[in-house]
Amino acid sequence: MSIITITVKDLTRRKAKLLLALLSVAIAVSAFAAITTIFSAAEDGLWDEASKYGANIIIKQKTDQVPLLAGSTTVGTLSTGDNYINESELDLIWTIEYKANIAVVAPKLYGIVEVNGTKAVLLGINSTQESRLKPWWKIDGEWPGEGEVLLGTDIAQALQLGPGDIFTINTHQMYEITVSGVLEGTGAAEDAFMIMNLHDAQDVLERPGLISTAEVRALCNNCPVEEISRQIEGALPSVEARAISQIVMGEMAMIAKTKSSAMAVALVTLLVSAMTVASTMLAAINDKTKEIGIMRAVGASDGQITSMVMLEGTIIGFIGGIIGFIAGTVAAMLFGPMLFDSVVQPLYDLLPQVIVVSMVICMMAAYLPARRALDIDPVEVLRDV
Amino acid sequence: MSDMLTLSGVTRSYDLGNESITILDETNLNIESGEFISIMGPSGSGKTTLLNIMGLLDTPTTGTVCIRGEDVAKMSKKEIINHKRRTIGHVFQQFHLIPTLSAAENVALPMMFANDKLDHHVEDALELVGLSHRLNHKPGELSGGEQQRVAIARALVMRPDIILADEPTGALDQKTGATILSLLESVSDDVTLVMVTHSQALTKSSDRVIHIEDGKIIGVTEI
Repeated sequence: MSIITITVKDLTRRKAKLLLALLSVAIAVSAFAAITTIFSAAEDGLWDEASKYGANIIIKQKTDQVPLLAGSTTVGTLSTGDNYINESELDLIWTIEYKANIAVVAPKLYGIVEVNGTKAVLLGINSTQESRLKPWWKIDGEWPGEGEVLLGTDIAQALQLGPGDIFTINTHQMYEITVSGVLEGTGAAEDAFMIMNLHDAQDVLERPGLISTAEVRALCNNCPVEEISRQIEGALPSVEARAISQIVMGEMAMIAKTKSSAMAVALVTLLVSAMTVASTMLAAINDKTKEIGIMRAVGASDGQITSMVMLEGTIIGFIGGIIGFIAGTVAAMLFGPMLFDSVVQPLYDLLPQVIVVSMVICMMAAYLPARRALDIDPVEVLRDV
Repeated sequence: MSDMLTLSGVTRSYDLGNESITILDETNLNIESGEFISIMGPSGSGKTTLLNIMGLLDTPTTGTVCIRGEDVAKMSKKEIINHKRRTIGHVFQQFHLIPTLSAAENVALPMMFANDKLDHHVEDALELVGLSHRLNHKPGELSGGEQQRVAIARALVMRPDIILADEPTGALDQKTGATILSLLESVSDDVTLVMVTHSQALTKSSDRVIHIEDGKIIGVTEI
């Protein structure tokens, strides 16, 4: 027999009060678990979503530049003049410590050309990398190969060109070129671009081996984009690598704020449950003053009496924590998708944390009842009548 | 025989508002090792208070209590708890067993608190009181006499030097009470037994009967 035996037997005798205490703890813990699980899924979902949005680092030469837009997002600046990056330098990106997180490096060369007497922006790309970076681009036709151009929807309309048409670009010489396809409107700057294979563009613009910028897609669910940018700048000293995950970070900050508010509510719930546990245990101490008096009379020390009460709180916290985790996870899986349109998976790593928090709260709640138990005078409670 | 318990000038008073009520007044008593002492007196005379002070459950307002010549007031809390566990065994009128624990577990309580190995001591103590067949029964499943025998086994299990019994037959019928008394008498050869009782008949096996009234010892009858 041990103190655990006595405590467990005593707890099972007071089933209704035990259930009340467990319910109180379980509700609070389930709120805590559900909030954590749902917001974790929301964050994961946001990162997954963000991973479809193209680059999260833009590399450009350190220079005076003009703003460059990609979609509705400011993604960096456009280098002008002779400020170009050597295309071969990009290979150094694959030497950084976080190279395993680099998924795509898409070089770009911008320049101005003349078509039918009209100035147009020519964009040179690596079709393979670009297609991986912008999987949402819908093309009527094909990505541009050698001697081909992909037209943004606006310029295609202006030039009245479509897939298979042949036209002439005028720079330092005349280039006859075939339209490989027309990019469906994206609402971004590329709607006005003529998009060409990078090496063709370098030839047309007389910038052999040079690029204006490179967009980098780092796989970054919780990986440090800023750190990757810093490492790229370390490997390529002449460039500036800027993280462009501000939008995602903004949304993450919004989620974090919402999560903080929800956690504050969960914390209040936990505190209320702690008070319920304390109240239930105080009532239990009042119910068993005689038993405690008997134990003190037959030699229980203050430490042993305190241990029994604290153990009772710990057991309630442990069981309540497990029940709360299960209930909270189920609730998160049921309601999470409605709130954040995310698939919610159980966070098993959360279980030990939840149990520890629950046990600590209940042990704190047991402190007052334990003090009350120590005040019990065996002479008073064992007085025979 | 050596001195087991010595009370010198023991007074116990309680403050009730502005009034102080004295339950025990300048009580002097010396109990020798192996003695069987009965304490008699009317209700409210201070018998139980005297027993509680002897059993270290209560402390005197003034005066000294010595166990084997050692002043309890000068003992540490740990030493006092140790005496409660190993020197003194209590038997109460209302048995005072823990209802959720079995007979064996109730008997084992003092050993558990003292961190002693149970071994066969619990079974031996219950066998001594004739309840070896009721080890796993809870108090609610036992008769009054059986419950008191479990309480006696609990008092004996640590092999204490002193057994303090507060009207141990008070809640039992006459026949069962006689059984309990003979059980206490049988163990009194090995321990110092102090028994509070209302019944003159129960005192016949005692070595001395202490008569107490209004908190004062008014007489001692040697038997």
